[in-house]
Amino acid sequence: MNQTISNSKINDVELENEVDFVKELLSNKQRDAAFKKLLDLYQVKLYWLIRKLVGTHENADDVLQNTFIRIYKGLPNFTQDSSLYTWMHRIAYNESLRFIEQNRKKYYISVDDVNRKYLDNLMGDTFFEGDALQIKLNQILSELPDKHREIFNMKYYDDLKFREIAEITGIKEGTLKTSYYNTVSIIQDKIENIQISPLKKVD
Amino acid sequence: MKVYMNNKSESVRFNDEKQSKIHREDLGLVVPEDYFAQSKNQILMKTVNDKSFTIDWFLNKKIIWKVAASMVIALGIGTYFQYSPNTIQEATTSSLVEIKSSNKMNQSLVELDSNQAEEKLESIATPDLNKKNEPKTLNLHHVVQDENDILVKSLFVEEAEVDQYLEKSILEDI
Repeated sequence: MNQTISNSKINDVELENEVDFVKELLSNKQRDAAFKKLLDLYQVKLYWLIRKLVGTHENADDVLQNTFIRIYKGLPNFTQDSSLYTWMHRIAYNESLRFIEQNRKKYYISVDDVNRKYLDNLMGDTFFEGDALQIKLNQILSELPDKHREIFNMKYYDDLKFREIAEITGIKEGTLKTSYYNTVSIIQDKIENIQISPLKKVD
Repeated sequence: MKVYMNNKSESVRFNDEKQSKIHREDLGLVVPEDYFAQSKNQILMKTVNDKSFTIDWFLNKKIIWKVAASMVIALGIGTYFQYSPNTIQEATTSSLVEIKSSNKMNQSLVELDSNQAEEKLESIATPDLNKKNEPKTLNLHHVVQDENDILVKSLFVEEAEVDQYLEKSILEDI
């Protein structure tokens, strides 16, 4: 785990020529082939973003499919104000929040209980294979305020830049940085108490 | 571009595996075997392979809606001006002016017998369908003028026929 954390920097998968790729996505002839390529590039990244927001694999699978359907439908209206990658992340993020809110209303869960429910669902998920330390780390994360946890996950696990997180969440970069470093500090304190080595440093 | 993408796919795969590994080792989150390939197929079934999306894609293009809206507005304006009351009145007036300036009508009237001529005069001089009272005044004016023309034309027609026409129709009207 120590090694994983220290070497967890994930390289960006960015398109060298995004403009051309977007043209292919908008072209009637090349659209389908380009969309398949889009899936190859971003499916896994978006899956993990969603998974950490909604908890279980089953939920993440539903949200991921809805996300890509929305992306496919929304491509004609993609204005290229932001990068394709950021635009898709924003759709995935909003789709996840929509799913959480729908579930909260559906099962009459109060806002305060959402995090506890998240952890319960995670523990009950067939595709959670965490040991005691991993359960503890998940617990620490679930106890964080929603926005702080989301920012931490996007920065630490999804390796997004602060600028990209700002575009996705609509929160100012300065606020994001403050929130992130505070969260890292909180997690490190709690991890030290359970004898897990410190988190990686982020530039 | 395609060459670049093909070359990139190895590094994409590497990064995907790396990301899956960190989530598994840090957070204990795993995915079913071959999940991403199956998920990709399902997504493609619901998007690229779904024919109903072709129409959606077409309708999603904003330019299509703008063109359609412009056509509807143009059609609406065209229809309004075509059937507006002012246009109908103008059309009626112009048709009356045409009748007035037509010499053919007079010639044909002379050739017809008196009853037929009277009927034809009325049918030609009263084309206005909407305003029934106003055209009557106009028609009377036209009839008097037409009668004068008929008298002129009578110089070239046999007297007996003119007398017969005058006795039966015009004197009664006067």
